[in-house]
Amino acid sequence: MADATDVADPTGVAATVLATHDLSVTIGGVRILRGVSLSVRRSEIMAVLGPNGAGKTTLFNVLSGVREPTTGRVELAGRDVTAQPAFRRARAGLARSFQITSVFTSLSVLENVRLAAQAKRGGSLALWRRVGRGDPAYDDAWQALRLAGITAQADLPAASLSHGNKRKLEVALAIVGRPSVLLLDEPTAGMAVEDVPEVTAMIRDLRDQLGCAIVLVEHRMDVAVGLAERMAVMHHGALLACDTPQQVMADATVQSAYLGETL
Amino acid sequence: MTSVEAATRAQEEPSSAVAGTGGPERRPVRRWVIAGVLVALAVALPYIPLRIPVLFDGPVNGPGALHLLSLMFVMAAIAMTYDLLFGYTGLLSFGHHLYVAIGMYTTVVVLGETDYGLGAALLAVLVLGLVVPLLLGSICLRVSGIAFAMVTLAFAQAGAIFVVRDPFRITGGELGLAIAYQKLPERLVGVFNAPYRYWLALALLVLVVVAVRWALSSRPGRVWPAIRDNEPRVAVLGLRPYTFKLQVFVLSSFLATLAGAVYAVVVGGAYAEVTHATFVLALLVMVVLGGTGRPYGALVGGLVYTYLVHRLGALSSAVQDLPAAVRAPLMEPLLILGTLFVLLVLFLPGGLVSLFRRPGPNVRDRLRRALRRKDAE
Amino acid sequence: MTTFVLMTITGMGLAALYFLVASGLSLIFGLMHVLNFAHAAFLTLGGYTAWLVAGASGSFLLGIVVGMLVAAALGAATETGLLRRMHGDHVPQVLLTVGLLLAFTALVRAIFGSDARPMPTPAWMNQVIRVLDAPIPNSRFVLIAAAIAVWVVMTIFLTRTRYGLIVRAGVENRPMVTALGIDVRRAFTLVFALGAGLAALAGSLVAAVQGAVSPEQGMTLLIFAFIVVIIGGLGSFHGSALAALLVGLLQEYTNFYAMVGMGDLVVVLLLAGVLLTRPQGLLGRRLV
Repeated sequence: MADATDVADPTGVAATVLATHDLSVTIGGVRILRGVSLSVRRSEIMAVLGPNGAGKTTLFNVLSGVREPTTGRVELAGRDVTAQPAFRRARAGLARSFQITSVFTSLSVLENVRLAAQAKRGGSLALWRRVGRGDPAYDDAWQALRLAGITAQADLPAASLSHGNKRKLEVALAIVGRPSVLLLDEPTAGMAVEDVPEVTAMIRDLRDQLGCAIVLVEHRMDVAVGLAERMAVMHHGALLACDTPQQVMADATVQSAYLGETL
Repeated sequence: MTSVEAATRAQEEPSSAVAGTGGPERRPVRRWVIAGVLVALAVALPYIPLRIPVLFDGPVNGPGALHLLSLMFVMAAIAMTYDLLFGYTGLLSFGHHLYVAIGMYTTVVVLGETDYGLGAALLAVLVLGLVVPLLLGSICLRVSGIAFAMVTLAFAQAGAIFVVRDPFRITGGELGLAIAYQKLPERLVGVFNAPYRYWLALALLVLVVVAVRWALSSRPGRVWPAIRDNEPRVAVLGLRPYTFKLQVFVLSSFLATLAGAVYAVVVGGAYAEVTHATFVLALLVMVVLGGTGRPYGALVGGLVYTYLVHRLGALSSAVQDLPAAVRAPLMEPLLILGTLFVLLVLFLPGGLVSLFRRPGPNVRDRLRRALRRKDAE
Repeated sequence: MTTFVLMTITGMGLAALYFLVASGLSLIFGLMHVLNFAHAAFLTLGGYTAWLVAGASGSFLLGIVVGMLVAAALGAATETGLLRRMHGDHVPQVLLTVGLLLAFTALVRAIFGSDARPMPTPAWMNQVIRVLDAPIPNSRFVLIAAAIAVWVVMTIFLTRTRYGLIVRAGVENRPMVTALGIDVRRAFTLVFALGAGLAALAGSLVAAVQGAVSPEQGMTLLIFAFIVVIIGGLGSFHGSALAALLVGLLQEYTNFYAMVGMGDLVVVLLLAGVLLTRPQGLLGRRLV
């Protein structure tokens, strides 16, 4: 099993924003994650690869707090967040988009993102605080919409969006809180080939503008290689390698695991 | 914001108002004017000796009509509090009537069984209206969906049992309790003081409408529809759904308790019917009839339902030469209302209010209407 | 000792009644996840049909049978004509059944009036047998016998027949059953009709035991049906049998040994307790 505090930064000091230590998830006797240890550096783009069933989504669920690990630790900016539920981690700067689009269907696109902005700003329980047209959360929302590229659809109900735009809304919801770590679960899922470069550019743009670390689960090899500074390869719940794309491709264990399989 | 940013923003943002869940905010002035006129009309009603045959027995400012209108206002208010829970936050409660009953019975019992007066009764209502839903809500909201519906029903049943069995001999059991008239201000007692009870009911309705609109335009008020649409996503955003649900539960139940107290004054007592599950089923019919989660849906539904329940029988007698087979069902308003309800659920899930939406290429509303049915899970 | 025996057998009679009332609901809820408020309508329907037919023909048994058949037919019609249009949306389905219940109860009131009508109960039902010196009316034994019969027949249906197997599989894993190419919808209709028929049976027996029919009787019993189904576990037929026993006995003992009226309260609090600690009920998700 590979350990990811390695090559480019032997001291492991370059501001690790997210780390897992020996993470395992066992459900009904099936080991879905086996001792996964990796660390994500500030502002780095890391791709998590692996065939279906490798445990990528489970890993994301554990990282974002939707699922509890059986053993192991998750650290956000050095602090142990393993026991924290999803909403706490979100407040601590961890944002996530979903593989199956999950938005607020009866709200407009703008309202969706404004709500996310309000959530991040805090004080949402204040019954005495009005939400009017001048609400500062709208500014945050417009910024996020601009970064995600869906300002033209702002007034439409979220449920009426095309698939591609829904994915963008997903991203907008995730970034409006200016997260320090952004987990993108299959951002190009279901997209037409011609739409992919736009998304890739957007992801790089997000990292440049927000300075956040981005971890993405990706099936398309070309997208992963093109975007990622490091790639984490998973297989049957274990982490095989986590390194630069070139090193990973050359890694013997990775090759033997995927001999004959197309990633 | 620099001028460049401002210019970009102006270009990107549509000049039409922000689309929210509460309906378009364009031309708010016109809405205020309409509302003001309606309220003024309602306030002036007891001075207008107008006769509307068939619709009302006697003049519109007579005690009969005013009493009916008072009931309509109280029910509409309660329906609005229920819509806050069900229509806006997606919490299907089968125990909402418990709070109306608490409001009613607390008022009547404090006045009847203790030496205290109306002030103390009101204070008791306010306190119970906050404490009880806080306590019960914190328990019931630990579960959701059908389980939540059933727990709320269970607690309301406990209340009903308490009222009917009357272990302390204070509730009057199945027969109910008359209010202690001598302790009420003179203005509120007696047939000829119907206008004052009418104004009290109107005041309650206005208060509830204002409170509900105010709550919905607040920060938590924007979270509630999100919880209805996609609760797990709300948690991922960094908000704890439980707290917000508890907040709206307490607010809604508090207002319902208050309405119960006014109800007791308007009808002159407390009745065990309020504790039966049929009451909350009627609330459900009211909000669906009017249109769930819409600005005035529950209001319209409550008014129409209460009117029909009380007047359908009289209406059928007014029309001569009705064969008995047609007359009998008309005497049972719930037959028509129940059937109407079924038809609404099948064909017009947006309720009556959706009929009055501006027709035309209003795709957004049509979509929303259709989606509300599909996403009503 | 005599009182204990009396309490126990009366409690079991009550349990039998609850089980009969709940059995149909349990099936429907288990397979279709529909909280069927219209169940109360079928309960009332059973009572009134038995009353009408027994009054006309003199045979109580015929009244029960006719009631079951009519209810089953109406149940099938309701499911195919109305519920199916909702495409599995739970909240609209619940709303639909609420509307049906309200309309039906009003219809009964319109035709027969709101007052309770006396039921021509066979005389032997009210005769009393002595068990260990405790006087028990025969009606209690009829209820217990009917409950046991229903339990046995339904268990055989669920475990030994093809449709029963489909129903059980559907409760555990509906998408899988559909994926296997089995028409789950026909199972839905069958289950709904069956549930309605069982409700009618329960309704007519209750009417016989209480000696009267009234428009509200379905609604009054419905609460207990819900309680039993939920405590027993959604979708568990045996669970509702177990829960009925628990609730019936608990209610009877509490009413006697604590205070009259406390029994109802205790049962309601038990429901709240189960929902909060173990929402899936005593026997969880499995149907049998």
